[in-house]
Parts: sequence; structure tokens; C-alpha cells
Amino acid sequence: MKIRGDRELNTIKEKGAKLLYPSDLKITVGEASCGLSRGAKAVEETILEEVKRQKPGIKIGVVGCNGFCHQEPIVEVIAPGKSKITYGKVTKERVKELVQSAIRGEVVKDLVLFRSDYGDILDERISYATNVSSLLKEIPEYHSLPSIKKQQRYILRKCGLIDPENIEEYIAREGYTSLLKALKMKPREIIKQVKDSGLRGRGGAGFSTGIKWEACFSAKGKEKYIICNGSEGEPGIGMHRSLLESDPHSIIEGIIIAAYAIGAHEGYFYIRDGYPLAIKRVKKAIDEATALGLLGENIANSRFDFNLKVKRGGGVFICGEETSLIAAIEGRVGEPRQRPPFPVEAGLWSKPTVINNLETLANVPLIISQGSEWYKKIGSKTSKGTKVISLTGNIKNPGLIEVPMGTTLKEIIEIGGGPVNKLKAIQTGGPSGGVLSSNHLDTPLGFDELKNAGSLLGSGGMVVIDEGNCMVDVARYFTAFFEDESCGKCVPCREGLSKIREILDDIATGKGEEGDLEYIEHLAYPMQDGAACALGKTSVNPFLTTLKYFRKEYETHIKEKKCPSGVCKEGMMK
Amino acid sequence: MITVTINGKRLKAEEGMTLLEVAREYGIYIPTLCSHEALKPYGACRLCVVEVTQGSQVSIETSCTYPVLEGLKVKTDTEKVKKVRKLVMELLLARCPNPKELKALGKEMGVEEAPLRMSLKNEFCILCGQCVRACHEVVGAGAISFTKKGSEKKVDTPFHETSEACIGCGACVFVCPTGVIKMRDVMDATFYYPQGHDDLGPMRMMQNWQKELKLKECKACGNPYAPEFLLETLGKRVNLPKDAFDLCPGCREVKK
Repeated sequence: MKIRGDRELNTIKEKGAKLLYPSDLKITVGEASCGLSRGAKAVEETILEEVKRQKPGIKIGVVGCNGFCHQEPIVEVIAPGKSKITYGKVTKERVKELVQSAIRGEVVKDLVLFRSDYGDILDERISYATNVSSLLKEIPEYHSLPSIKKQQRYILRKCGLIDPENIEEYIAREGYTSLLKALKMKPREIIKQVKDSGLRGRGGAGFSTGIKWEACFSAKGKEKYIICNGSEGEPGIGMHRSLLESDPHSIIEGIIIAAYAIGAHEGYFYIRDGYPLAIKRVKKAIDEATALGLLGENIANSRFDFNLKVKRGGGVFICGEETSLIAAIEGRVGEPRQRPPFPVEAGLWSKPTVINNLETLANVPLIISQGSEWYKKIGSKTSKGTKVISLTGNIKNPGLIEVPMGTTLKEIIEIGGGPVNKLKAIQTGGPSGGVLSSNHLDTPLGFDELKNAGSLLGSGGMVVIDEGNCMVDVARYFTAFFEDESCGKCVPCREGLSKIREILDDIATGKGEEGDLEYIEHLAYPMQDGAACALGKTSVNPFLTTLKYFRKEYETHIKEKKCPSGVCKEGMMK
Repeated sequence: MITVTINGKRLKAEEGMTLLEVAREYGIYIPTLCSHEALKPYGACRLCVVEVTQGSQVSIETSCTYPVLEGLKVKTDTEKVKKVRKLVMELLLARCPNPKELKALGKEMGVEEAPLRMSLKNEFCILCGQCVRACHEVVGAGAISFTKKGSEKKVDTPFHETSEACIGCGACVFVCPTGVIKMRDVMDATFYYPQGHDDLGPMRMMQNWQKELKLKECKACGNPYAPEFLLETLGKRVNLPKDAFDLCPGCREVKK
């Protein structure tokens, strides 16, 4: 069947709703990379066996990541008319008991995380249970959890709820309604909505998405391209991977709307090769959307044609930079080139091209369906909307969260359950960002707010660093990362990073000399000015920001040959 | 015509020119290493940086890649610019302390050697990419390219294997600013094979690309003068008759 309008979409929506909320018992397993790495596949197989033995009618479903990565593998039990029960850290051994109690309508108390009485915030409220039994009342309700209360999950609203490999379940949750709405609008109207919403690029630079689209829309030439940047390369950060694996359609819907707005008929979805599951699920999603006529010729009977191809990237960090990414798609060496001309004037194959981060594009359906006025109300003065944050490091509950812009760093750390030991610093924006000291916890989340504090929002990674860490070691690790990931084209980045890393190595191994800090500062500042691209310019941030806030720690390493946190051992005094 | 201001002087330039071209036309000195008039700008060495003011935005940009735009204000010798150039020179001298061309340019800029605390390498290639661009853009052979990344980056043939695409023209040797790419014509290549080899005759050795090409001998004077593969490729490209390269350039002159 091809979707030609709302009628067909509604038919599929009904079909999908039956899958999501069947008339019989349903058990789902979270199978994004976070779950799979903790043995979700084995849990699913055991559930299948158990169900076959105990009650063959029960449906088993696969969903993505619901953000509680520290509780994986996560299993949910959905029974008609009852609250949804979410279990965490389910092992193969506990499956038998779990299935048994699900059939009996009971709860395995020591595994349960929370119950959900109704569906999420944006979609129309889907009530699971009208009467909550006294047995369940003891279990906390999902929406009353302190970590959830402070979040606003818009981008992640479908993650962990729908099967990422089933378009019908996505459509059942209002999926592709924004696309149909957008196709009835004029491209100029869509661009105006996006511009008015204040949406800024989520890849890190924070450029206005609407202005970018407008520039490409007005650029000369019939042939235009849209590229979705899914090249997430920061160490220890996986929010975009999770979104790709849990809800690929929301990004694809955004891509199609963007393509229609700028007048592109061909697009590329660039995903790094290190994310095989994401690639598999995005490819499946593209096939499903094509089969329903949401991609290809005459999309939903609108006379608009658009084809989307997946392009696998080698996983080099620099290929997240837009001009390098274009070079990689064209089959050239992934090296940045100077701008101007900007890609909106001369991008892929020298044609006008919009490159958006996947999270930016996932915001687009939301803006179209809810309107720019609604969207503008979320967030801070200059940064609108929500931001998906990957919380890692020395934090009690690492995972994936989504908060409105303007939320303070302190609140974000609280959502993650607080630091494991006493907080020392927080790194925002991945390695290119910077390290802020514990005095900066009142800094609100936002592009300009974090920049003013001396760090960056970047793509939204946050690493919590507690007292057990040495800042020289942190700076050394990230500088080595950049040294390795530098494309090697320009002299300051290629040669300069090695020199800084060598001195940091010396300092960390008791070979630091008086004057070393001034010497590497003398290297780092001209590097910020002289490097060719954002990677090179920001590669000195980990070093410069740790030095700014923790200079004493560096000096203790050099003068006393001591590491205050006891991390650096080689060549150090005991 | 476009008007740009360089160091306070209002200068006329044609659309499509780069800042470096304009500066050179008016005799304003900007040092360069990776730029070559026959090749597309690349922007790798960062020696040609200048301070560009466009509206309220001030940034450091490479003049070899930056197009002239109406109303641009450019300064070629601010403190920031000097610091970047000095750093680039220091880093290059730490990588390549020996090439005399580099040392001479450093001396001109007041950087005689890398700072003492800087570790030294002994490379001769500054990775300016002129050879790669000449091979791709001018010759159209595409035999060599950059391989690896970061501090391991180098110019090489694909997979470090003998390049089939190399026609032995020597353009890479000609453009290399530090003379690290070597080419040698030998009358009898058998000399290169101590274990013994059939009579090879005159050959061109592209030492950096592990390529050996048989040289064509002139039908008149008998002197080897250019690789057979090179002549064959060029002949095919412009559809020349088969005997077009029978004579060496000297004998061809005589025949005329």
C-alpha cells in the first residue's frame, strides 16, 4: 500500500496501535547497543523459550533505548488495562519468574524499576490503566521519578516505546503526520517556521537552521542536496547512536521535510561504520518508508520526489566536519577545505547543499506539528528547544537524558543521580568543548551560555569528573585523542598537537620543567587562530580549560613531582 | 571590479581572485609554502594567514584560499598573524630541520630554528601537497595521494605499492619545494639489480613511488629521452599519430 494522504496514514496508524497495545499480554526487550552489550539478546531468547512453554499467545517485541542505560537489560510488561511495568537488570536466570508473574498479573518486586500509568507528554495521552491496584501503588510511577520530572523528552519521546524496525509503530505514535502537513505547505512557509522557532544546529556550531535552509533555498541551481550528519565520533558519547538505533524514522521524517523545503531531490544519510546496528536500522527504515511511498517518486501524492541513500563513513572524527564529510561522500580524502564558499552555495559535487546534524533534523517534525510559537517557549533566551545529553563519567546513573535548554549543569548532574565521589569538574561538549570546574555548576545549558563560561555545548556529551581523576591526565588523554584524529592537513594541528602531547606526557611522568606551561600556552593560542578547521581550533580546549581552572595541579606535577589525585604514577614521588 | 582594503590601502581586484593574488599584484609580501600558481589553492601550510574583517566579524584566514569580496578589510601583519606564522615556521623546522629552502624562509621571517624544548624529527617532506595536486590537477594521472592521518600522514602511492598510474613525468619532482622527491634516469638499470637481471636498458627510476619506466630511445640519435609509458599516454590523450614521438625534441628541431 502507498500512502497518498491522511486516510491511508490513519489505516496504518490503527494497525500500528494494535501492535503497540495488543489485546493480549506483551513483553518488550530494549535492544539498542546499550541493552545488547549487557545481554539483551540472550534475555529475549530466554523469554521466547519461556513464553513458548508457559503461554504461547504472548507477544514479544523489540524496542530501543529508553534512556536508563545503567539499568539494562530492560524488559517491559504491557497488559491491557493495566499499568506498564518496567524491569531493569534482567538476567536470563530471572526470566522464568518474570514471565510467570506477568501471566499471573503479579510483579517481581526486586527487579521492578517503575510503572507507567499513561503514555508520554507530546502524543495524545494514552492511558494504560484507569485503576491502579494497591499492589502497584507501592511502585513509583514513571512520571513522578525525580530524574524524569526534570526532563522534557521530546526528541526521545518514542525511544524505548516503539520497535525501531517497524514503521507502523512509528506511525501509530503520530509519525509522518508532520511530513504530510509539511507537504501541503509552501517551502517558504516551512523555512519561516523553522527560522521563527529559533532552532540552532545541534552538531555544535549552533548556526540557525532556518537561515541555513533559506540560503540553500535561494542559492542558484536546480540540483541541490541534503546531507544528514550522523558521524558521531567523540569518545564515550553515544546519544546520536541511541537515537539512530531507537527511532530512525523521526530523523528520516525531518530529512524529507528539509529536502522539500530547500528543493533537494537527493539526500545522503552519513553514518559512521562503527555503528553497524544504526546502519542496519536506518536502512530498514528507508526501505519501509520507500515501500509506503514516503520516499521515492511523488511522495504522498504531492508530486515531490526525493531519494535518500545511506553513506557509510570510516568513523574518522574529522568527517563530522561538514567540508570533510562532503569530501568523504565524493570519495576523496576526508580533509576540510576553507570556507567560503559555504556548502549552501557550493557543497556536494559543488552544488548547493544543506548539512544538518541528525538531532537538528529530528527537531523538525516537532516544529512542524506543534508550530514555531510552541517550540520557542522551550529553552533559554538564545537557545531554543531541548537537548539530548549523553551523561557519562563518574556519575551514578549514566544514560541518555533530554532537558530543555537553560537547565543548569547542576540539575543535569542531579538527574543522573549525582557524582560517584566528590565532584571535581564537568566536561561539556565532548573533547572539543572544555572542562568546567565545580564552581560553574550554575551555568545554564545553551550555546552562548557555555561558550561564555569557557566551554562549548558541542553535540551534547557530558563527562562528570570526580576527585579520583587527575586533570593533567584528562588533558593528556584528550590531546592524544586529537593528535590521533587530526587529519594532518594543516601544520598547526598536525605538528602542534604532537608537541603539546609530548610536554603533557613529560609533566605526567615527572619530567616537567619550569616554564613548560608557558611554553605550551605559547603553542596553543596561535593554534586556535591558525588551524584550518573547527577540530584544530578547538583541539587545544581540553588543555587550555583544565589549565585555566586547575593550574595548581599542573604546577604540583612540575615542581613537586607529585600527582595530587594519585593517578600519574610513573616518575612521581610517592 | 571589487574594492578591498589591504593594510589600509584601497585596492581594485577582479572577481574570482584570491586575497593572495591581489596582494601579490600590488607587491604586498605574504610568505607561502604550499601555494603554487599552477595549482589550486590548498590552505595547508597556514603561512599565508591574514586578518580578515567582514562586517563585525574578525578572523584569521588563509589568503591563498580566501576569495575577494566587496568591502573586505585585510591586514597582513597584525600580532595574531605574526604569531601564527612564527608558530608554523617553528613547527615546520622541528619536523624538517634540514631542508635549506625551509631554513632560508625561516631566516627571512626571523625564525632560525625550532625552540629548544621542541622535539625534532628529521623529515624532508613538509606535506604541502604540491606534488599530489600537480599529479591530479595538472598531469591527470592521480598516481600519488595523501595516506594515513595525523602525525603519520604522508604522500604515497595507494597501499604503498608500485603505482600503475605513474607515467614518470616528474611533475612531482619539479614542484617539490624541499627536493625530497627523487627521480633518476639511468643508461643501464641492470646495475640496480645486484642479483642479476635481464638487460633492462635505459630506465627512469621514480624512487619515492617504487616505479621504474623504460625510456624511449630516439630513432635518429639513439639517446633515451622520455618514458615510453608517458609518451604513449600523452599520445593517446591528444590523439597523435603513432610515430609522433619517434624523435627526441632535439632531433625533431633539426628535422624541421
